[in-house]
Amino acid sequence: MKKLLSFISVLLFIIATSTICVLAASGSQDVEKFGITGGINLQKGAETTFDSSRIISGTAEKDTEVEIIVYRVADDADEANLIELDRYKTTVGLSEIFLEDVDLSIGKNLIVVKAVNGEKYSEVSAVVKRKKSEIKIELRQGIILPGQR
Amino acid sequence: MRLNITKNFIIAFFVILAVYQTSELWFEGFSNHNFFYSFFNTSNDFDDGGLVYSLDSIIINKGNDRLIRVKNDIYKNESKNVFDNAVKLTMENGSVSPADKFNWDEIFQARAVVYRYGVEIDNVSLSKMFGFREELLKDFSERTDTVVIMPVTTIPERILVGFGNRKTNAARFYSIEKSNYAYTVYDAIGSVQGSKDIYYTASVKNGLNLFKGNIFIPQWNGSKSNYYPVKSENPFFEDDEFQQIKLERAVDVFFDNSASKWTSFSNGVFIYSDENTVVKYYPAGVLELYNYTAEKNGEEKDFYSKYKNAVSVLKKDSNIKNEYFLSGYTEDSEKTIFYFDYKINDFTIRLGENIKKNTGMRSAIEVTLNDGRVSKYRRLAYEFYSDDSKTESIEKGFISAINEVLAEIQSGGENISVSDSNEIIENAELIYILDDNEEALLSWLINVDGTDYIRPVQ
Repeated sequence: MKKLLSFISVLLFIIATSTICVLAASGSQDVEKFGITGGINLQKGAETTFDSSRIISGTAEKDTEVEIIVYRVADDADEANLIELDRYKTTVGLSEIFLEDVDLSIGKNLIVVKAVNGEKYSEVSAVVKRKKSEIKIELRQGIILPGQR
Repeated sequence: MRLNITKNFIIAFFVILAVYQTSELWFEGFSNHNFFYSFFNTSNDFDDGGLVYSLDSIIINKGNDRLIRVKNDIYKNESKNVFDNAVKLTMENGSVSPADKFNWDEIFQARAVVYRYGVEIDNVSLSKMFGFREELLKDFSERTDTVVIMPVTTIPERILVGFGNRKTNAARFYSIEKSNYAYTVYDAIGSVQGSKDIYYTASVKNGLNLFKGNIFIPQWNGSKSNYYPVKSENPFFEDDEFQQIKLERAVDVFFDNSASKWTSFSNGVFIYSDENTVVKYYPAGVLELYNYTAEKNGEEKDFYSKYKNAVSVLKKDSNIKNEYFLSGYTEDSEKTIFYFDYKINDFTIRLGENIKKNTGMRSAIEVTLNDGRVSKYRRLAYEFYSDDSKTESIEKGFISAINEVLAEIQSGGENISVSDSNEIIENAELIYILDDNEEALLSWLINVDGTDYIRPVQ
C-alpha cells in the first residue's frame, strides 16, 4: 500500500511538473495594449503600394521594446528566402505609442513587428508589395480617354 | 495761349482743393481733416480679402504618406490662387455633399490640399474672405479652422471642398461635378515643393488616438534632421549702438505729415505725436501706436470688418519685413484684439517667456479695436532672418518629446494616464522660440489638455 501511494505521488509530481513545463514553453503572455494602428493592414493577406516607405504606428504598454524588421521576400515566394533589409528599434514611453518610417524595396516586403516587455511577447507581420512608381503614371495615363486630358 | 489755359486749370484745381480742405476743417464730423493720408484710415483695397494673413499653413498631400507643410511664401502664390479659385468655383456653382465629417483616410488617399487657420472663424466671415455667398455656409454651426480641397481627376471629374473644425472633425462639403478645373488643381498640387528634410504625417491617419482631432506632425528620415537657426535684429541699432535717426524714419510712416510731429523722450521711452496719433518706442524693442482720429459713424463691428480693418493697418506698416499670420484673437463687448505671429523657414516664431514678460506682449503684433476701429497697434520691432552660416540639428522625435512632457506632468504630482484619458494632446509642432539672446532655435511645442509645454529638440 505504501509503495502504491509513493508511486502515485511520484507520478502525480511528474505530471504536474511536466504540465508546468508545457505551459511555460507555450508561453508567454501577450504584451499589454499592443496593437498596430497604422501602416500595415493585418486583415489583408498582402497590400500593394507605389510608396517607397511606410509609416508603421502602434501602441504598447510602457517600457515595451518594439522592433520592426523589414525583409525582402524572394519572388518565388519561398519563405526561406528572406533577406533582412532594415531593423528599427524603439522603447515605448509614457505615451504608449510608437511610430517608425520604414523603407520598402521594390517587390514583396515582409514587415515583422515584435514587442517584448519582460516575459511578455507579441508579434505581428504583414506583406506589402511595392510597385515601381512608373507603373502608376502609366496607369493614370491609361485611364484618360482620347479627346480628354 | 495753350499755356495760359493749362495754368488756369491748375489754379482752379487748387482753389477747389483749398475750399474743400477748409470746409473739412470747419465742419467737424465731416470726415477728418487728414485729406491725403492717415495711417489709421482703413482701405477697401483688399485684393484677397485679407484671407491669406489668417492662414497658418497649407498642407499638401501628393498621394503618398508624406505630407508637405508650407507656411511661408503663400501670399500671392500661384498655386494658392488656384486653390482659392477652386473654393470659389465649387461654392458658387456646386452643391452640398452628404459627408458631415472629415474622413482623413479618404482625404489622404489621393491629392488634397488642407488650409489650416490659426483661429476658428465664423462661416459668414470666412465666406466674405473667400468671396462666395454667405448663405452657403450660414447654417453650418461649427466654426471653421480647416478647409479641404480635393480634385478628383478620374471621370467624372469633380472638385470637393470641405469646411470644418479640426477638434470636433465636423465638416460641411460641397462638390462641383464635371469640372475640368480639377486638373488645374491637381497640377497645382503637384507643383508645390516642400522641405527636403522634414515631412508631415497626420495623427488620425496613423490611428494615434492620443491626439485631439487631427494634427500634422513633423517627421524626418534617419535619427536627426538639420535646420538653420534664426537671428533677430533690432533695425534701430547699428554696430550695437542705438540710432535715433533710424527710429524716426521708421515712425514717419505713421504720420500724415511727419515734419510736424512732436518728439519727446521720457524714462527711456521715445514719444512721437501729432494731434491724432501717438507713437512710443520702448527700450525692449516695442513700437506702440495710439489712434485718436475722430470716430467714423457706422463702423461695422462684425468679425470680418474688424479683421479687415486690422490687416489694413498692418499692410500700411512698410517696416514689417517678415511674413505674419493671425495666431489668435480675443473679443468682448468693448474691444477686440488680434494677435499675429511671424513665420520663417516654414515655422512659427514664438515669443519666449522672458520676452513676453519684458514687453508685456503675447504675440509679436497686436492690433486692438474699439467699436470696430483700430485704436492701438503694438509691434515687436525686430526683424528676423535665417542664419545660413550654421546648422543645428533636431534629434528628438515628437514621441520622445511627448513622453518627456508626460513625465514632467507626472513628476509634478498630477496623475495623468494615457489609457484613461485619450485625446489629451492638442498640438505637437516645431516652432522657433525667441529668447533674450536674440537667437531663436527650434523647440517642440506640445500642448497637453490646453497647456503648452516647450521641450528642446536635442
